[in-house]
Amino acid sequence: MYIFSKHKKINKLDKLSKNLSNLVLFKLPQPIIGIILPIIIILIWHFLALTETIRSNLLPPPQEVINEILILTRDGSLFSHILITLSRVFYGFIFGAITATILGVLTGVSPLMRRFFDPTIQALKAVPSLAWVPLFILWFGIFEDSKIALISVGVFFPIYLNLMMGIRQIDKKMVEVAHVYNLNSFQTIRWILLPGIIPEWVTGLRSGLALGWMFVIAAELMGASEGLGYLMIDGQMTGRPALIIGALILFAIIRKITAELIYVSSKPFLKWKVSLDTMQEEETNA
Amino acid sequence: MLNIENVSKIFKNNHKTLKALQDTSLVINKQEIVSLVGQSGCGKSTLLRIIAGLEKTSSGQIKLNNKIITKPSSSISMVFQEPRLMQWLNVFDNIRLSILSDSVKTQRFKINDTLKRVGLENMGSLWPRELSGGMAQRVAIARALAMHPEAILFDEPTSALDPELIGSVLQTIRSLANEGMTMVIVTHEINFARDVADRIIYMDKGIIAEQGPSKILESPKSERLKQFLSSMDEEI
Repeated sequence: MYIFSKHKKINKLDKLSKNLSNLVLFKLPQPIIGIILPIIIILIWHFLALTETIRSNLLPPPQEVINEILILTRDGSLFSHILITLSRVFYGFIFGAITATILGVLTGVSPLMRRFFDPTIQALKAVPSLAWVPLFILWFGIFEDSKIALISVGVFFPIYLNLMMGIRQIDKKMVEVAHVYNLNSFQTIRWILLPGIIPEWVTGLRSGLALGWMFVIAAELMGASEGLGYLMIDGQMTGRPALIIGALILFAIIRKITAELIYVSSKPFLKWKVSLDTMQEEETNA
Repeated sequence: MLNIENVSKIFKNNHKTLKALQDTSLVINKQEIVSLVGQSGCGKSTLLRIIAGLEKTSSGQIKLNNKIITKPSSSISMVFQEPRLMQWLNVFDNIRLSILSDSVKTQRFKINDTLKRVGLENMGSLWPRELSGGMAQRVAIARALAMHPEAILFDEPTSALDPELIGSVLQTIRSLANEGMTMVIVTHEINFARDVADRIIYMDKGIIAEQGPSKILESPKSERLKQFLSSMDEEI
């Protein structure tokens, strides 16, 4: 009965999705569909600013935000702010991802390693991320190292957990196939374990990157003289909401681009996997 | 020649013991096709897994050409109940798994050859998700064949398939039988076992209760085999 009603619901959803797909709007190319909502939001925002529904010292009009970004672009400082934030996320992500991947594989493959490492890692996961700040400042100073360390911590946990659970959930029957065909340990890892856990690893990398971006802002808000987080604090201190909103928009755009980069680069490794996403993409391409 | 000598297997779990096989002895000759039949839990799959080297014996030993085997060997291949294809590898690479130590050129030759033998020529680039259950099981058979084993073990290769897909798999096994491949087949398809096997072995409660040519299925001696066959008739 439950399955039947669930099936009915899926059918209804499918019909609704097909009806929506038939609208002219949704026949446009994907990137164009994606920017329709931001344009609508900007138009509403522009209207609210024009009619002074919201005071301009709280919500400046879009053109003021664009001007603020243009000023920073012209004096060359915007590029260096973006670059420093990007480099912090990059190094934090690389350190966090490498450590998490090594420990995730070790604890996933070896029960002994899991018993040794996992309780401590799980306990450390329970520590609120911002609680690390004083310790990292004490250990690494107030400059780049402490920020990168904080970002690495944020990136580490989702990748580690996804990878460890992914390996543990690999079907024992598949490993048995490796035994029947006399695959050695390296071949078993290369042909069965690693490709089998790529979906979980990519999910971990994407969540890790998202947390990395959250943590970079936290790190820059706490004390930095450069970066997008610094621009937000600067805007707050100097009473320039346009600067805060401009930094926020840039932050969102750059974060989205980096997330897309992971998504696109992981796609060739996931083409075997049929998900709702793939099915809808195939339907659109057909 | 495969010698199964006084093999017993006892599973222990939470202070409970289960005697899956009791002092079982059997000789399987080269090019012989043996079909193991019996109720679920009678020990036939355990025997197959022991021959494949996937389970250790509690006592007794398995010899292949007078060499004791205790772990999987490149001379014995196995096809499971489900195809067990790696979803992340295409058909070509799934078959390649069994011959990784060969050169790329040899691999390509063997894979194309086995795909042809199982009737799936030019399908190497397909993903497992694009195959029907019967096709997937034939890929699993191709994977087992590619390593050129001396014997292939089949563990109920059609029991996970829809009825309309069974025929193609049985046809593939039948053609292997015609080629003279040594095979041990655990199956519930009694008619198929009767057609293809040189010898039928009926197992019950971990022992070989009766064995002989396929005509033993027409005139069984033991009461237990009679009951088993009538229960199979009822199922049909």
